[in-house]
Amino acid sequence: MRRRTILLFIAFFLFLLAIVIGAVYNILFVLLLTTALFLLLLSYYSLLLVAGLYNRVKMEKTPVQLLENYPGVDILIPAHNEGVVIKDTIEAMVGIKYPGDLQIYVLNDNSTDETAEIAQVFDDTYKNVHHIKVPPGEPRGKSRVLNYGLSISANKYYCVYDADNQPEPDALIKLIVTAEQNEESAGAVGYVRTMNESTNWLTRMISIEFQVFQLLMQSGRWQLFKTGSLTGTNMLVKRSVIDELGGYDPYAIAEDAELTLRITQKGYYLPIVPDSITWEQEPETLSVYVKQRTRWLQGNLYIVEKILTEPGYFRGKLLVHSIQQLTVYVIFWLFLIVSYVWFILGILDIFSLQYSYPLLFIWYLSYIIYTAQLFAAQATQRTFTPINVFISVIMYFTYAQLFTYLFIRSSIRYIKAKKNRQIIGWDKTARFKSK
Amino acid sequence: MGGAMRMWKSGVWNQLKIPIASIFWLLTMVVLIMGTYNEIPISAYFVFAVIALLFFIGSDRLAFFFYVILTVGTVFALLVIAFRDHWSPLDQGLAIGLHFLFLVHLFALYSLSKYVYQFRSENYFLTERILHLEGFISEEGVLSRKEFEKQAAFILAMMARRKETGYIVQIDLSELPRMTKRTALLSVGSILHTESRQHFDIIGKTGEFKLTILLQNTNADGLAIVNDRIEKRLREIFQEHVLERMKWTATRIEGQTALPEGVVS
Repeated sequence: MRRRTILLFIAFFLFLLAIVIGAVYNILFVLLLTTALFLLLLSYYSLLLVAGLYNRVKMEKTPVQLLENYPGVDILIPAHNEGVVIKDTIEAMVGIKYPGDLQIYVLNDNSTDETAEIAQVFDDTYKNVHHIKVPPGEPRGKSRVLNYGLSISANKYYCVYDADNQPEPDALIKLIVTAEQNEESAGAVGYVRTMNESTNWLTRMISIEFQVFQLLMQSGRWQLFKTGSLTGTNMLVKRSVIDELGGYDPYAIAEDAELTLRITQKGYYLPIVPDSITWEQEPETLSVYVKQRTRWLQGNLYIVEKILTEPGYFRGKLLVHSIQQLTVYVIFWLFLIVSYVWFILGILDIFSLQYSYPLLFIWYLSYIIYTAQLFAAQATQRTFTPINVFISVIMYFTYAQLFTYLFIRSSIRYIKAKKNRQIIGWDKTARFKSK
Repeated sequence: MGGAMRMWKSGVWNQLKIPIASIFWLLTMVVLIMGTYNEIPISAYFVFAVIALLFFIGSDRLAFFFYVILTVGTVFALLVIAFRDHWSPLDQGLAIGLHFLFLVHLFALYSLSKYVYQFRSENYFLTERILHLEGFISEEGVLSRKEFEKQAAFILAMMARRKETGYIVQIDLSELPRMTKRTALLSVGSILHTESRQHFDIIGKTGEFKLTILLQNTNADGLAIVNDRIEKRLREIFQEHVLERMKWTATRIEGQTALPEGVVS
């Protein structure tokens, strides 16, 4: 692993050196290379967009089939200080319509608020609701809690819901039908919708972003490559598959993305079920948002590190996921940095290039592709409103720019933790009382 | 207050959305024609008119699919031309302006097709839904108090005329833990609905946490069978001590034409 890391660092250093030398001797070469890569990236995202839309149009005409026998399912809900939301969550779980055996486990991870009392009342009322006190341990986080949940449950499938989720009554049955109809599937993944979308502009932007992720990364990739991603919630997995994989990686902060890679590596499918919907809360304040996204990005950096340092991540369908991770978290970030450097150099009149090049139109192209994604997501989810249209038009200049700040913040924290040999802690996202 | 305001805004928008989309569609079309009639052959406008019709042939999602194909296709095509013809920043600026206007025009067209599709499907869906939900407090097949009284009066009159016997069974959940009363009410209602004779017996929410089932044309044996079935299902879901807190009462009906006192609270 160390040798591979050193080699990768050397390769990266040589790449940067080539760019610098290219810039000194022939700046046009660097310009063409970065533009070509950037346009390639935009073309890929355009393709995902068209494929995602095509998939949704196609799915609209597919009727839901019923099964003769419904296998047993365990619902796992990791909960750490979720007193504000847990009652609504368990109520929604009790309301799930499922003809087979359904067991609901509220995995109480050492909560100090009223989570335990609320969960216990439901446990005392319903035979299939279980309030489980997870023993304390390290590393803290969802992965360890889910591993514990798996150790105390036994049904053929398990389905994870976050503690702020309210699945629709038919969400689970749709996942099961899809999973059972696909022999090679590891389970099935549903959609996540934002219940507090209309609270403020931030929640609207997050909601639209989520819809884009689901349209492109789920429906689009499923249409093109028959591969999907686990979303951390409203996701169904076969117990045999998780057993084969040895459970969750307790050090993974983005445990869903990490498990997706291992599932894909084993050659299993993760079919997407857009009609299986759960509603969840999104951060209502910028500080909560920054904290949550920093954690997610750190989790993704952990995965990038794994991809680059462990063998086997560039084979078969896994290539789609690995390239995705690298383009978003390495290449795209480099583009951003390069573009900012160019911008500053131009503003300060330190460097200028006399060449006829449609840079303005390339910028427009990226704006249109980005905004078309936002519109497409709303068109498929039928969530267009005048305010959402306006927000989509300005998101490129506002919300999207936050990524640079978040990425730098997460990278610094990640490298610091690595340098000090610390385990990156799992930060809980603050919840808000439903209005 | 906030909810009423939202409703009002939504109502206003619903009335204005089609005129607004139409005005945008018309204005952008006029400006586009004025800005391009020297550059584009007249046949191109006819081709576009035919493409525009595609927006109305299927669902709103299909219309948006066409919208995206046109958006992505035209923006990449213009980029190729920009590279080929070495567009100056001014050329690029003009092209961006016109293309953006074209997208606004297309979006207005898509919006119109979406509203047409919405009206079509909503009319169908709402008619079906209203027929199904009329009088139900939820989707569990439980009637509202008013609807229960109305239907019960009719059934009791029929039973009296035919000299049939029947039972009114009441389940009171008010002794259950406060936290789980609401979900328990829905669960019990659903069980009563699935375990009773559909289109024959009726179930109603006759108190805040009280459900009533009217079993028509049955005797003590019939009542026992229904009770067993319901109890078995309840035992599968609820803990023993919770079942003990559910208060059951059964009243025999024979010739009465109105609900007994206290059934509805």
